[in-house]
Amino acid sequence: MIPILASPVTDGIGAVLAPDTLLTIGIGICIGMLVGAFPGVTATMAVALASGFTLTMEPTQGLAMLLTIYVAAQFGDRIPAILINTPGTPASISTTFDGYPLARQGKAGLALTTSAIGSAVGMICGIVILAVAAVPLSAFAMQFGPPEMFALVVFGLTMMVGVSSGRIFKGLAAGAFGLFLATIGRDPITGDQRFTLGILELNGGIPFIPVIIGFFGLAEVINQILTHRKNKGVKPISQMGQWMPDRQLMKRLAKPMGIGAATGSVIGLIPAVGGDIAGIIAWDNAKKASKRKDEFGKGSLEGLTAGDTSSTATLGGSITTTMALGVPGDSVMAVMIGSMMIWGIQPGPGLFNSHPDLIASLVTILLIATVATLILSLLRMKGVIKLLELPDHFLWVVILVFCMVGTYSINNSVFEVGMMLLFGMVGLFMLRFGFPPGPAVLGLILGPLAEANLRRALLTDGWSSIFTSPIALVLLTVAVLAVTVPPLRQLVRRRKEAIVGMKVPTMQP
Amino acid sequence: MTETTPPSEQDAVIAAAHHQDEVLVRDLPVRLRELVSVAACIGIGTLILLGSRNITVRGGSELGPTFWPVMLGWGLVLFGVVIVFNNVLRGVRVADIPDRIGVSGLKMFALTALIAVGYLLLWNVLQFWMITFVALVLFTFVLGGRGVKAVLVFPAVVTAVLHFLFIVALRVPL
Repeated sequence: MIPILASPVTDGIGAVLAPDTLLTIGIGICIGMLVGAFPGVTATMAVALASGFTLTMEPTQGLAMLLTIYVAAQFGDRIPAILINTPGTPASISTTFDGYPLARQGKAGLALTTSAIGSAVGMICGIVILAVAAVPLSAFAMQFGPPEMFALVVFGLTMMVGVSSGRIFKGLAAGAFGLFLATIGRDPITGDQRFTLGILELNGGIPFIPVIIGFFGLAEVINQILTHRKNKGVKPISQMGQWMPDRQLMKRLAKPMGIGAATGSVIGLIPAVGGDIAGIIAWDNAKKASKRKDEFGKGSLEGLTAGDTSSTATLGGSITTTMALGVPGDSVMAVMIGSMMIWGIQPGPGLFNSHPDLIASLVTILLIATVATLILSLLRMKGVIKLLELPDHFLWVVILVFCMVGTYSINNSVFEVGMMLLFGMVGLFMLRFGFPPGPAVLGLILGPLAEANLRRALLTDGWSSIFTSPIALVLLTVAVLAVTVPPLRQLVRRRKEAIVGMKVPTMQP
Repeated sequence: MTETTPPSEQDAVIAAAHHQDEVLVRDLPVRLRELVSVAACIGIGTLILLGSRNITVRGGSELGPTFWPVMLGWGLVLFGVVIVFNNVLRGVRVADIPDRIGVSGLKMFALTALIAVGYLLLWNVLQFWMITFVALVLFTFVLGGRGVKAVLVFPAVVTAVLHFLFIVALRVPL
């Protein structure tokens, strides 16, 4: 058949509307909803596990599966937050503030549906941002040379570190460790062997998918096993009450949804700031703007929808910075970058030039996933309540075996399964001692890019090549500020408190 | 059971999101824990610096293959020193103290690790479905599953799903 209206947009949409891709979207929605509904399984963990078996798929199908899991998890995680006061993923922390009190008042059904509607509104705002901002941002980033690219990687790493305010230095150490892992194998410029310890399989470098699965899958499960306590579970609330909101209520919720959408859209564009922080900030903003402030925290539908709209609105910005700049918007996107690189798609400046149909594919995948997940969420899913009562050990077993078999299926390599187990232990150490794994994974993925660009820049014109580039200078300045301002601000505040004779807060007797 | 998320907890979460001050813990066990992090940073940094000496450098350029690893090695040593001041001396946030490890958790972990290693070693020796079913039965039992449904039906269903997904659908040679 002769393609009459062939264009990147129609190509991109057409690739998603193929039956195979629609099927993967459907499977992704089911997995994502389940992942979100089980407390303890994060979207990052699910995407990391799924990357094990999606690597054998076509890139569009694989992307559709991973993105759909991410989208659906953003809806599913509200269920345990509302019914058992436990966030399904960190993005639904703000949902617990008002969701659980609403459920205890017999309004669980209403809380679930308004939360789903708010999440869908947030998601659509995020998709609009992706559609509008991704290509111009990517075109701007096309001007980047080696100094700017190096500065961009440093910017991305420090932004991911900077948001974990209390763990900045451990985050930086984790990032440096990830960058070191990326040096194992061949030098990106001279091709010399480094740190391979004579192991033949390490000549090509450390494979990052086993590391990701080890860090985000195995380490999390082992930590849950180690800290497991009997009879820790909470019985879910089963009285659902009214389900659908009336027109008057929807009118009242328009304002908090608007606040949530605006907050989440802005926060989403800051690399590495996830939906958890956006949800909490929007909840706080909506409380300040509300006429019923006293209801917040005690069962406010306004607070619930503001937080949920905001946390999902970050997703569009997060995908935008990931695709256009190659700097992941959050840890899920860091995992996704790893999968995309294996498919031969290098996120970053130039991505939309080499794959002009990709933006249309991404928008279509996200829209279909959002609408389908909203419909599924509006169905009265009483079966999900039974899932919440499922003992932890079933989930642990499934994740453990998926970690192993999924890793093997990437390259049919037992060595890689061994690497996954090893990095699961490294990830467990990091979890127990407070080193965030996100910067380490980011360092591993972006390490060769950072090293090669820094050395190229230095070989060309020395350090002046970096400090004479306005873009590099701005990015590096923001990066330095991101890691220095929060601790300095705390230090100044403590000094002020000490001067006025206030006791410095401590739990020490 | 918690009736609602306590207001104090909400305030703490909101304060953290706004990067405000939080209560710091400074007791001895916490400080000793933080010293492990310091040792890890300085230890890995030192290993990188020592390992960099074994890299063959052709051409003798100062921007050669050792330039970047040496920079990272010194960076890790520096971060280790900063963690002494920031975490060991100043204290850590309550949220950064992990849940306590239980004895039953340790036992479950040790047995799970043994089964996982055995499963991996027998992977290419026995048929995938057979070894996976046995491993799943053992995993489920060790992690607390009891009864026919948990120890037999659940492993059988998961084995069938894995077989269909990886061997039939994705054609992985397992």
